[in-house]
Amino acid sequence: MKPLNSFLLLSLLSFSLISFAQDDVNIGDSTALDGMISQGYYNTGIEKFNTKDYQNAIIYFDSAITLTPNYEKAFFNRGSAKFQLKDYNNAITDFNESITLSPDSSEAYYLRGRSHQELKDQEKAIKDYTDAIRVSPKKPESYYYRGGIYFLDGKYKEAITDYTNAIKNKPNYAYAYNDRGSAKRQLKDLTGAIKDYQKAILVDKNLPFVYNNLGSAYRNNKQYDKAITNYDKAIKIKNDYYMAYNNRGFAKHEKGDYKGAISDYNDAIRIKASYVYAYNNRAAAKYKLKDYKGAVADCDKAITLNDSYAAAYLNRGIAQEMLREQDKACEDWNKAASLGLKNGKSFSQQSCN
Amino acid sequence: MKKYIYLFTLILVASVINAQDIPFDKKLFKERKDEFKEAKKNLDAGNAIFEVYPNTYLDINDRQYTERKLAYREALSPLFKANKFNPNNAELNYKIGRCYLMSSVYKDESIPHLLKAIKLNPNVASDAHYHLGIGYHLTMDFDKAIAAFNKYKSTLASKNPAELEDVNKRIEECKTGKKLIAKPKRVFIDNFGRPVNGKYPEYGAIISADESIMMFTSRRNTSTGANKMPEGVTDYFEDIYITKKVDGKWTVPENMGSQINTNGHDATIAVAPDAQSMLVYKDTKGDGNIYECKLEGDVWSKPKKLNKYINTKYHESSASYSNDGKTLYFVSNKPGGIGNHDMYVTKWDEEKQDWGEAKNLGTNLNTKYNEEAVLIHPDGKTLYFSSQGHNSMGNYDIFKSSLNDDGTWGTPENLGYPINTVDDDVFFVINASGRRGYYSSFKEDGHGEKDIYMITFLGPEKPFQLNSEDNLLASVAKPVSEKVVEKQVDALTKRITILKGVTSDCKTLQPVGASLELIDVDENKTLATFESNKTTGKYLVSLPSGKNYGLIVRKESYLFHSENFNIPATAAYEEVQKDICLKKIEVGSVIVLKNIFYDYNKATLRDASKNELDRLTKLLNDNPTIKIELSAHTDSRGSNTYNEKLSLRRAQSCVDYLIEKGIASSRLVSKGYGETKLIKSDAEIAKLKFEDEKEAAHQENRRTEFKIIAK
Repeated sequence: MKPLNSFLLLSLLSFSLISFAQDDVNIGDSTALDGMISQGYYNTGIEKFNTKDYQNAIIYFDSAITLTPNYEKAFFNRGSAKFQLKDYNNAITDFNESITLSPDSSEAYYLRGRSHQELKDQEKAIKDYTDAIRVSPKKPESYYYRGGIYFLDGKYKEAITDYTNAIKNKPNYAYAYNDRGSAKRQLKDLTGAIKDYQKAILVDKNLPFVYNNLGSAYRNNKQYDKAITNYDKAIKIKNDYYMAYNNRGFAKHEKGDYKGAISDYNDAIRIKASYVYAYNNRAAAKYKLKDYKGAVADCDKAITLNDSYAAAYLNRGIAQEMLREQDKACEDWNKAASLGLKNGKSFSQQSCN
Repeated sequence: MKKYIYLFTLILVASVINAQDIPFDKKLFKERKDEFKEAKKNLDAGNAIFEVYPNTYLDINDRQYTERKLAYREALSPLFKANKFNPNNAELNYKIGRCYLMSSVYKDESIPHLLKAIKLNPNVASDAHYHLGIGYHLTMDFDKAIAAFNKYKSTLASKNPAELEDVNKRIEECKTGKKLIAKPKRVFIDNFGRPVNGKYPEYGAIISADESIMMFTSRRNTSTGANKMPEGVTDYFEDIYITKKVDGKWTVPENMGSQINTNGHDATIAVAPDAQSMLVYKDTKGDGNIYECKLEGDVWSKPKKLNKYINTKYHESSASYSNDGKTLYFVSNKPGGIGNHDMYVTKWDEEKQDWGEAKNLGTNLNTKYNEEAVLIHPDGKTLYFSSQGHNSMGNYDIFKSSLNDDGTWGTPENLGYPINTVDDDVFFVINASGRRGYYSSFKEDGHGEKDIYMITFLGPEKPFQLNSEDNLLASVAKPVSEKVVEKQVDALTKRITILKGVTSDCKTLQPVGASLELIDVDENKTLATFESNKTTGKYLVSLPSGKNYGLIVRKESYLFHSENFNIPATAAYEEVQKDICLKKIEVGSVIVLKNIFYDYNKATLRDASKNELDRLTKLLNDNPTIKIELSAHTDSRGSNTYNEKLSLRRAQSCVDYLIEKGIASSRLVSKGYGETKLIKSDAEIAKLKFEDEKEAAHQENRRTEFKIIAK
């Protein structure tokens, strides 16, 4: 498709999240004409963008930039289109250009931050989010995503501050409630975590992972019945949510319902046959039911799937001991110890020669 | 009419459900005269045995009890035959029930007979419910036992305080039993199997601290003096047998020979942790005494009776050596105690070179009932014993008590079910790690008679680690795994290190007997002295955690050898094999002085080092012609020049000390080698997997040593 008459396009200018008000154009000036034409391309680009035709959007933005090399917004929008296409490196090049041309573009900082984050360059991402916040302190997403980086870096307190700011600027921000709840949970503030998850549900009652997280917070708090109720809800919304099955099994195990736990682990495995946690946990429930051979078989499976899975070695050793296979038990505990489990060493010290 | 009576009787005999008490009256059995005659003969024979013994169990001693047990077992056969002829006689059923209670394994058979006796005649005997209670107790049917005992209590006419106390104790035992069985201990109990257990009785197993040697008592047809027994007598005398663990397998037990085993009863009592001495039981005049034998080279000495503070004309039955050999715990029923058999303790008198006066272990441990089979663990602070008192679940139970810091003994703790049962549980031994114990029991699935069983203690349940993950972050698809905080497990093992090995000559590598002195480095005092075996060179020392130990090995015409084991209080069980070779006093011999300590990064000698330097002073005084080079070494960390300077200053500190003690400076050369003569190279250390191993390697490099440079 070739670029159409820019005047026409101008009238078709559509506003979207990433569109911007256009500057006035002086007709009669040749640069102004170029500018008008390039603005036409630009607008078509936006149109394409809004219909998610990112490839073509990029072509129009290219044309706009060719005619107007310092077309900051075209750079920005081309970067955005590349971001949508997960072409993060080239997106960053465009955002760089955009920021050079207009150092106060919080959107460019924000999206460059997102691009850096996708490329796992957390340091640059944080810097960009911080710049975005400096320019537009009310943009909730900048806080939210920076909080996420802090979270994954184990800096839960910083994360909570960011999530709180995100919520302040967007009170129905369900994701931010969820993530803040998770950060509180990591800090062992289970009451706070539970409250946040509940708020997330109040805002949006259709997010399965929030129910799952709430269930896990209750499980950590030893409120197993409430945990199970919430896992139930998560599974109701997303019936192939294997993680929630595994977690519900865990809660049932803690409650002493080993048969119920096994049934949940079975379901988790049916959904995801390579789910090592479910095998490992099923072994624990089988052990409790004195099915030591079954426990060993499940640990075997978990280890086959992941041969550096420390807990599965530790657990297999415990089951082997009950089968009077002391040598095998000790070998497993030593392996668990070498993979970093303190109990591996302590069991071995306790029961091995 | 007679015909009717006969018919009536027949119906009665045939019917169990509507049974009535049928006396052994020949009028009732006119048609079965011969059978009746035979049955009556059996009945009388059985009854005769019963008449010999008083009805009560109270106030009878062990020997009387054993006698009665054997007699009742004997009575069972004729009574059983009489009962076959007339199964509906209340008194006969009652007596059969009581006989079964005395049997080894068929105790549960007592219950139907006693129930039937009571049903046939509720007044068959005033203590029928009492014995029924015992039957239920012994079969661990505690609720029914308590009900039966209470029924007996309500009918106790005499209100004899002793009887009342007895039945109350049994009720308490049942309550304890209920509690203990509800929370069984995690153990495996295995028949020790062949070649130790056979068709004859085996019991009284005793083990060295490292479980490499086991002695036990057995009554075998090969026992010393068995050939002199009257024909038909199969209750052979006791002999002691020994078996050794070789490559993880127990050897065929050997009779310990004529030095130890005599024509009479010779039974095991205890073996020292290093298995270089043992205690045996002999009963020459019917009073029971404790004897000691020592392993001299590869020969056990003739048993020697322990002194009067231990042995009396009363019954001394069991004893146990402490890990340092300086304390002996034993059991005696001599008068003046708290109960019948009580536990006593005596300390080694260094001056007299004999055991001192004995002291009763006191009311915390001894009860008014019997205590037996005392055992002090090599950790020096856990006492195991059997008792009929405390919170026993029936007869003897095994208990343990821990020594408090103030020297008193803590409240005894029942070892729990299934180690303890409602029956007698005695003669229990436990290894140094606390993971395995041995005892004897007569079980139906055994090899015959009493067998030795091994208990494996599993400790508290080992927690499984469960894993989970959640979508913690709404915008991140990858789930976050929950970080598992590992559940802490109570340490089952004893806090003790077993140090064992062989002392030998460094050149010939032949084992030599040496003397070992165990010292407390910080306190600068001798804790114990041992001798390694002069033939095998073997030694074993138990080191309870929580001390900085020095071990000095000496032998005449050899240089002393010094080792250091700093064992923190929290250190779990460990068995350390340390073979030590001794060097002759000759030019070129090098000895590492392991008990020399400096302040961190300084050359100042710590007080704890002086003991070692004093030993060196003595060596130099004893051998006035030798000259030594005293050198210090650092590990490879830090700069070369710094290390060299530090080591030289350290060596000089030692030399200064020796000069101060009067050694001529011309005999001493100080050298600081820094990190130039590492025992463990950096490359070797880099290969080590764990931090503590690496640290230990660096520690090995940091050392002070001396070399003989002239003689």
